[in-house]
Amino acid sequence: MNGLIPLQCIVSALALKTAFGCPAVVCSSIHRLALSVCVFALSTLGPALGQIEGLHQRIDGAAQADLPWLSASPTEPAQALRRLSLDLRNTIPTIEEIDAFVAEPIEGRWERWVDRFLADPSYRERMVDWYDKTLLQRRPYQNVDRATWIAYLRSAVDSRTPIDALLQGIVQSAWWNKSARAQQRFFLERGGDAHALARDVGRVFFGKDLQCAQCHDHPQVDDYLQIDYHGLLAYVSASSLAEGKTTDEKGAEQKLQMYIEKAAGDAPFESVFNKGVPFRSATRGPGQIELFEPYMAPDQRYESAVRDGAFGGLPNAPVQSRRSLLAAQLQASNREFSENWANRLWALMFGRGLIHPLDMRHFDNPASNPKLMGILTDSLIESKFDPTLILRQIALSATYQRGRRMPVEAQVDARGVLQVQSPEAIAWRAQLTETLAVAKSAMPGAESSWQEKQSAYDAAADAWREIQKTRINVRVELDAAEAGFNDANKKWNDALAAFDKASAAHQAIAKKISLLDEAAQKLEQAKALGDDLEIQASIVSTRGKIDALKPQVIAAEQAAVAAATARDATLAAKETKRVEWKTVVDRLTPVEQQLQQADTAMILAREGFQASRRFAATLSQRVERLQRVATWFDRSAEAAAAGVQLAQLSTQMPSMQEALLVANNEKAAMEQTSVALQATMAETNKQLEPVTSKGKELLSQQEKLVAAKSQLTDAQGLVADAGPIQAAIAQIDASLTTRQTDLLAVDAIVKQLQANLGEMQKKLGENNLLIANAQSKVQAQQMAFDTHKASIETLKTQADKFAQECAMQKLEVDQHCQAIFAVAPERALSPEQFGWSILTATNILSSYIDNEKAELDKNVALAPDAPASEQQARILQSVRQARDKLQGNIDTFSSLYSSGVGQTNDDFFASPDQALFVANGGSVYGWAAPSGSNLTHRAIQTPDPRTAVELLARGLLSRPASSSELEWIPELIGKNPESKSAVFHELVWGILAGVEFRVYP
Amino acid sequence: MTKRARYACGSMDHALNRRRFLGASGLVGAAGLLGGVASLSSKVAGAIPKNDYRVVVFNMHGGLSQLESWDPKPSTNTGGPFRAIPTSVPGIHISELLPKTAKQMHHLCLLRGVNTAEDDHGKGAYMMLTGRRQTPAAEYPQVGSVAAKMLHDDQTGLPGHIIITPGGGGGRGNEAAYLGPKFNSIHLGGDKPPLNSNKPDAIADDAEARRHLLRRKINEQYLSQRRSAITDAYTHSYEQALKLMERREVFDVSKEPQAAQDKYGSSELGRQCLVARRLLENGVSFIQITHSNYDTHNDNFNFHIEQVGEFDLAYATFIEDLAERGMLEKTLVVVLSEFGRTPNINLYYGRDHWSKAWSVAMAGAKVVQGAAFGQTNKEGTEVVDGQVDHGDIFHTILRGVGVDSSQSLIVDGRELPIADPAAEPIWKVLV
Repeated sequence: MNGLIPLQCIVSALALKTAFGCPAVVCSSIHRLALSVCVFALSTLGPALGQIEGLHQRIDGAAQADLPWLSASPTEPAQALRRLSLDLRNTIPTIEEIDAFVAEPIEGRWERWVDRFLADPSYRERMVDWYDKTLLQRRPYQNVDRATWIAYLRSAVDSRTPIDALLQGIVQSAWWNKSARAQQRFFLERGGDAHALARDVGRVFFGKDLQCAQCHDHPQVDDYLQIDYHGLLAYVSASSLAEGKTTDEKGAEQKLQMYIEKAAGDAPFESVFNKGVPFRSATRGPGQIELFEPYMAPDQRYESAVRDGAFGGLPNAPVQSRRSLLAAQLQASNREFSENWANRLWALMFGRGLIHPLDMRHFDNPASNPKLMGILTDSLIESKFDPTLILRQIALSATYQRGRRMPVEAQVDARGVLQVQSPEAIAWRAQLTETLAVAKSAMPGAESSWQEKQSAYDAAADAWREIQKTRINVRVELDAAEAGFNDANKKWNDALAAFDKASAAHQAIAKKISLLDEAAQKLEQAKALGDDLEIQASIVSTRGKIDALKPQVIAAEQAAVAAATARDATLAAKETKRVEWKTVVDRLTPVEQQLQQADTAMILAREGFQASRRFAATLSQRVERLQRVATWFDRSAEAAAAGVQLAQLSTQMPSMQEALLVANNEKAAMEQTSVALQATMAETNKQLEPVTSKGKELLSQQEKLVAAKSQLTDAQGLVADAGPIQAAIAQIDASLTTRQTDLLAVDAIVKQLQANLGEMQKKLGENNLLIANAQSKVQAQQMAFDTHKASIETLKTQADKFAQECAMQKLEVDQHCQAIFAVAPERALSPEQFGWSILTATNILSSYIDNEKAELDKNVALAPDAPASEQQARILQSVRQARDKLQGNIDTFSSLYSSGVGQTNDDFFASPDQALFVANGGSVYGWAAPSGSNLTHRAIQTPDPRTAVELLARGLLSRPASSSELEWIPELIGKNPESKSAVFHELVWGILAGVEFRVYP
Repeated sequence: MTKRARYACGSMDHALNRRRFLGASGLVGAAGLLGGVASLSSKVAGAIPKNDYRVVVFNMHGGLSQLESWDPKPSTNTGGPFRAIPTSVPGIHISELLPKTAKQMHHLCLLRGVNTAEDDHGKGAYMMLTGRRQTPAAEYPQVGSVAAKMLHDDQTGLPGHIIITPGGGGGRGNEAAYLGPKFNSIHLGGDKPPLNSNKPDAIADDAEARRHLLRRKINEQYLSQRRSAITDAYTHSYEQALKLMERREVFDVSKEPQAAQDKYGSSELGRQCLVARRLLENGVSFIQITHSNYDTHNDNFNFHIEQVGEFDLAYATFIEDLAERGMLEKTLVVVLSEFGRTPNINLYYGRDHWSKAWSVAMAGAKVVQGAAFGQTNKEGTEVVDGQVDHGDIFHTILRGVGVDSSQSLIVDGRELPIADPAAEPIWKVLV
């Protein structure tokens, strides 16, 4: 899209649209679209567009991120349209609009739809809602009814009243009569309380919440001073609520609270932390010097004439109005005012300001993009505070259409860890390091610069305070002189009243005498016409009365003269006091001139201080943001390094395990050998046993044989025949020999076995040594393995920690990117957007509009050839009537989902009572039911469930159905063919109750 | 030369402040996402350890007469017709209109030296419930919101801050100020459960299950792409709602045995006390019960016979029940009004607004039991000993349930003390 389209092109494009009956070109078949979007052409785009036309390009130029890889690419077009519709119309687009948009050629499409939405009656209602929430912050209707207030805002929007003019009108509202009741609402609903209003004048008009600077300089915000607060307070301190009397339409007496203004007088104040040093402040606009108005004598401070249409019982208007002075601040010449409203318009489109929170504008909370803030402020001034022109340009910017995803996320894993080794990431890191270094290098200079400027400011402020002391003293004298004058004035007023009374008494008697004299003369004339005794008697009586009154009249005259003298004397005394008062004023004037000079110097120095401090804060914010990104890289690198190390350690694990196993096996084998040896030894021992016992047996036989032989030998001589004995001896000998041989054999075997055993014992001993070695080897291996395993665990924990920190840093970086609008800020729908979107999605809103239009057409049919303007007016009226009828439903959403009275933003929160309302309140589920030609009905009627799912995704969520939705939903319906209607009803409810519907795309 | 004000208390603030603004542009969410969803929906940063203490406040709407309740002055010009009766604590006498309560005195701690110097209903109520005087340019959270914030565990599935009003119509209150709407009260109308906590009859059980299944399935896809503190809190709120529906019978006194119902009596207040006990048992941190209306400019004595009589039965049963169940150790029960009533009896046998010398009763948790602290003079026209005000009482309630009342919360970069730093707890009545 070429941003340099000259104005004529825009105007002719709009004219073209009107000529074609607008949306009909795209989808003439769809009545609903024609009805709700038909053109309310921006009949005039304003006179001095000049630079405004290219604003969207300058926005994009300024919003270019220093690190392009953090700046999101455009969001999907239909989703962008949903965002645009929510911002400009407070509701989602209809399915017809989505379909028409998608079908249109891309060239110039976005601009056409921006203009189409701006021309929609809903845009006007959106602006009414914005003004309402911004100015009244959800305060209940206590003094002004809703109809009056909304009608006022609607007429302001219809007539394209510039923001500054609207606010000036509110501040200067003609409180003395009923005509400006609606404008008064800003003050009335805040109870007219000066402190409440000082706070909200600061917050709403200037974006500064000075609440904590009432009793001392703000304890936390160095930029908010007590003199700032009292400067604002001075605008409203003379105003308060008073009851005025009037008559209503039926002529009955009506009493109304009015926010009236009296002549101002500034009370002294001091810091609770610096008691005994009083200050006074006349009005001081934010960033301005204190403004001294000419001093007027107390008897000249009010207008003498009663204003037209004035209420009974209220004082006349003061000659000098502090509210007019405030109105004078609500215009381009006050940069704080202009910047605040530029910021608020930006917030309307993004859900957050360039400066955020909106009412915390101060030097330590600078714009996230000061250049952009400057451009936007200049453009708002240039547009003459036309919100539509600015909103249109913001909408046209690529910045507005950015998506939610940082491109860097392509290189981020599911845990939030950046793939730092990728070529892209390496290049990014280099760029980041350089950018960060440059930004950091500027910090010391910025820091010392603001400190220097602060010293200069402190000096200027001290000089100002010195003169302020003198002024305070003279002001005290002035108070005394004023009291003296008031006293004299009162005496004069008393004398005046006394004189009036005396004079009236004198005149009454004189009149009586003159009437009696007249009567006497008449009687004389009557008597001349014929003498009559009775008349004569009357004459005498009358004359007598006159004579009797004469001394009285003299006394009365003398009293009157005396009263006149006294009056003149008090007047002279009063005038003397006036002169005295004036003398003090004349002494005060040069002091105040001096003070103003010092003030001017102080404000100039303060501006310097503020600018340098703001610069330092901006820089510091930027460094913090870059630092966050750097930390993300660092943690990611650490996470990656930990990962690599972990992988390495993990690869060593199998070989270590193997070695451990081998050692264990070796040890086991050796142990096996020992066991075998021991077994063999046991076996050998077992073999040894019979042999040994056989040996023992042989020995015992041998002994027995020897014993027998010895007995036989002894017995030879005792018997006659020694033959048999000798034979027996010989036999024994033979046996002995055999035994001996056997014994030798046995002995040989035993020796052999024992030798074997000894051998084995030796082997066993050797093997045991080996086993001990193997054991220590195994232990060593096990230890190495355990250590390794432990370090893997440690590393894993560490890696997890890094990854967690990465996730955290990613969130932080994302938040920072949202703050500089490099990605679209995450935001929930406002309560009103949520409500209207549900009513749009379920066709309730459009059927109400249809009904209203039909009703209007029935009462007064429009001629087919009625001018376009009349037709547009009819549609606008239908839309407004429909919305008014549905407002009660929206109020329910407001009460459940809003942050409540007095908040600047609707901070998102979720609570079970909200969910209970959506689930069981009846309305949402009821609206989701099939009816008329709504989406639920159409989905049920669609034969192919996949087509039905696509229909619902487009119509309710402004996007194509996902592949998984196209799968599981038709499957579910396939399983429950008999409850198709019910399932679609529940599905529509489920989508409306779902999180995607609740938040911005 | 006068420098920019640097306060004794402020040097730390200052050091914090620049950092806070430089860093705090809405970055609270980050920690939250990783820390679960419990703390996400508030604007207030910083985690606060929870304990299992609870608070019940009886708000005697209109202004209970101290002379017909906690601080009788029989046989004096101001005392009115009623006698004082002995209680379970020797030496402490209360009005004969509270015979059942007298038997529970050993659990109670009377504060008889309350002086709040505010005779306007609205302002007095504001002071007693927020512990501060109302100022136009600031809003403070009520004790219920503070208690819910400091004590309530979301996992109970029940709201932390409940206000029971006779005939009240459900919905949500607006007492949380800067703590955020999450800590606003849920209003219960009488002894009825919260609004919309019942599944509509038109939705069959299987349809109910299916529609929530569909909702979850649809969320699942979205959350797999984009999850944040906001999306977590939102989806969680629906699950909380379902949990609350499951626990709906907690609100239903008919589930109590008949004997218990009989004990509490048939008055609406009695049933509310029984609901309150059930809610306490189920983890609700703060319950306020309103008893109305004590604004007796006319016919003070007859009104008090009736009202205090109803209160006596319900309240005494409630205290006894909590004590028997061992719940009183962890539950602080406070009986307060916006102010007391004049010792002087007016022409209409009424008593008017009186904030100079009146009484508040506490029982349970960390507050001493069986005591009367503070004293008024013979005719009850002035505090002569132990004078306390709304700020002290607010601190004492918090301390009484183990909350450090001197701490501050950081909200949007502002440091806000949870109780008025100019006041402090009544240490003598705290254990």
